[in-house]
Amino acid sequence: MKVELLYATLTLAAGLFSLGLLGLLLRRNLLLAFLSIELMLNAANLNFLAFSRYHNEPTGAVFVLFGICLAAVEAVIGLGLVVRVFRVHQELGYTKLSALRW
Amino acid sequence: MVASYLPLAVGLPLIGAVVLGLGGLWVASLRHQRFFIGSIATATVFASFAIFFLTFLSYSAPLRVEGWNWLAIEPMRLRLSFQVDTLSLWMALIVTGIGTLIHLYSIGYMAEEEGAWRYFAFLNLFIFSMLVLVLADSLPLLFLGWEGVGACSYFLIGYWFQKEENAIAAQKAFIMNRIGDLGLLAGMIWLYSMTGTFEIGQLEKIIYPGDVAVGVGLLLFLAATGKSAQIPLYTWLPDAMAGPTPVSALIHAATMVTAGIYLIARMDFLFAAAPEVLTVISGIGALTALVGGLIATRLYDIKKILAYSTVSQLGFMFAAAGAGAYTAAIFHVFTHAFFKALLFLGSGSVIHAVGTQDIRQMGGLRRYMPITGWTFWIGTLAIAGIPPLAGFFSKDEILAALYARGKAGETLYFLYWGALLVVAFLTAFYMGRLSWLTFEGSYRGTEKPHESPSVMTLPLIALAVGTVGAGFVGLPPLLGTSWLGQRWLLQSVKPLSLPPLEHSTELFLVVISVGVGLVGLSTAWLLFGKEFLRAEYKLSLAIGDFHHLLSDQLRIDKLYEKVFVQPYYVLSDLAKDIWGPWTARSLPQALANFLYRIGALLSRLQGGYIPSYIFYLAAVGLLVLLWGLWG
Repeated sequence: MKVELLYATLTLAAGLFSLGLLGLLLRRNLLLAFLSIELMLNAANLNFLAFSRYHNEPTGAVFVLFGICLAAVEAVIGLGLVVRVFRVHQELGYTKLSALRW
Repeated sequence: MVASYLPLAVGLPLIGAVVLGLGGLWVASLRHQRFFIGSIATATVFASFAIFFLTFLSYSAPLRVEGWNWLAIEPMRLRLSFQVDTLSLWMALIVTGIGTLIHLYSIGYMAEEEGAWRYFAFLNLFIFSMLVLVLADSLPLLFLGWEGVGACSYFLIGYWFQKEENAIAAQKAFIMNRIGDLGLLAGMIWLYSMTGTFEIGQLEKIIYPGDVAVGVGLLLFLAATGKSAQIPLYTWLPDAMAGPTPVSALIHAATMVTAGIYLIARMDFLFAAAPEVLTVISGIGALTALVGGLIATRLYDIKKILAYSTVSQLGFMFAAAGAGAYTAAIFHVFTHAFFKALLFLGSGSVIHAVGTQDIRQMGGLRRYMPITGWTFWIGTLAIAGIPPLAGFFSKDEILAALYARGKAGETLYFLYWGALLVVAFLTAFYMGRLSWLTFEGSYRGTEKPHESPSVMTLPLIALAVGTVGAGFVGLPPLLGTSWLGQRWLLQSVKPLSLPPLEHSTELFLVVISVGVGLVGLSTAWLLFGKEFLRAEYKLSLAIGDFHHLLSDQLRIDKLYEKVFVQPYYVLSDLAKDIWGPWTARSLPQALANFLYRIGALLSRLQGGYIPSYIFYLAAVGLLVLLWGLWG
């Protein structure tokens, strides 16, 4: 893998990460925040993969496998929670969900 | 072999104190088992005494009991270890031996007391602290014991703290001792800054320049005047009689107040380099002996008389120490421990029986309480210096030492000798007066007196036996060799060398001191043998204003009140006006406000608004990133 390709991939990942961060900062919707976090996670995965290919070193790829696995688990729990919260409150704007208990 | 039990000997009283103290505090039902509590306390002290006694029997060379590291602040390394040499072992024997008898006596004396557990816990703690004091091999450890006995003294003087005057007396003792303690602390630090060591064994090997020896010597003597009730810090001791009588016997007569003498004997190498300080010590000792003896002649409170008698006898010891005759001073510590403990316990027995401390309300008590009466008389004869009782030998050795020093060219010591002869007369006189008024004649009180239980009379008998026999460990040169002075103590104490007196001179001194004692006793008998009230009246008329001055205890307390306490109040009022607005309120308040503002500012960060948290997170992440790029 050439170094130019590495740079291009890293730029793409940085762009994805910034997009995710911006989404997290600007949107107040629980579901969209969740999506943004996934985006940032995948940006990190992309970094791993890019360096793994560049150095011909499988460790990074293995990390990505773990990362995807964790993301899947997180998605299950997170989406479950989101669905539950929506059912109870009819509301997904998380700034409005400020009470810890009632 | 026995040496391995020495830590136990020191630790047992501490264990007793902790068990009794915590047990009494947490287990309410234990508090009523007063006999049980007293027995435990007595047993720990007796076990400790037994170990020391076995050590004494098999003693051949100084023992060191190595402890663990205590203070290791490089380059200073201080181990918590004990030094058992002839001097410290002798003191430990006195402390635990007399301590056992007084613990035993206390079982009877405190039998009706609710707070006996508290009393015995502190009494045990006192024995432990005193052992730490005498066995310490370094000055900081000695200081720890020194403070420990002071604290126990405070607790026990204020045992009946429900009465305000007792609490005040306890505070007075504590604060006056604190002044002296400052001297010990300063002297200790001065020595350390000079030599770089705190260990007495190391300090001993150093040759001190004269000015350091004088400075440190005076500071240590200041400490001794506090603990051992000498001028100018003696006024706490008479007030300390507010505590239970066995406490007065143990702490304020037999053991704690002799700590000052022990300190001087222990640091003899330092005082050897400062003969000027020794002259001062001797002078203060003689003056204190005189003042104590004079005041004791004009009081009616049996315990106060004995307290001033203690002050006076401690003056004797300091006079001896100042003459460089440390062995004579320690000998007097030893004999005095017997007869003064005996007198105090006897007075406790009397107070127990008649319910008052005023000797005008007593009289003829020997018929009601023969054991107390006879043993008290033995104590009186001993302190008056009648041979062959213990007081005779030690007092005679002190007088001979002062005379010899005077003869060696230091004429000032002749003056001290003369003063102490007067005190010897006064001692015989006031003790004769006390004994006659208490035990002879007819009973003047109202309550029906009774002899004390055997748990109280047994220690009296034991102490009386000691009072008769204790003197024989220190025979004067006239009769043989003083085992205590010439064989035992010389191994660890180095008295200044005195020119030996001729036998004829010595005989002359003995005749004088015994004669003075006999004259004192017979004067007391002539005056108070029959109609004491008229004699008292005539005597007070004869000495006029001096009588009032003496019965007011020379009004030293009022003097101190004017000179020290009042200016202190004025100063603190002044300070309140000048600094008060700044220090007392505003400065702490400003600090509190400042902290509060910071807190308010920081609390805004936690507004509960989640996007702001994410923003902080992102901002900090960005900062870290930038820092990584530039750094």
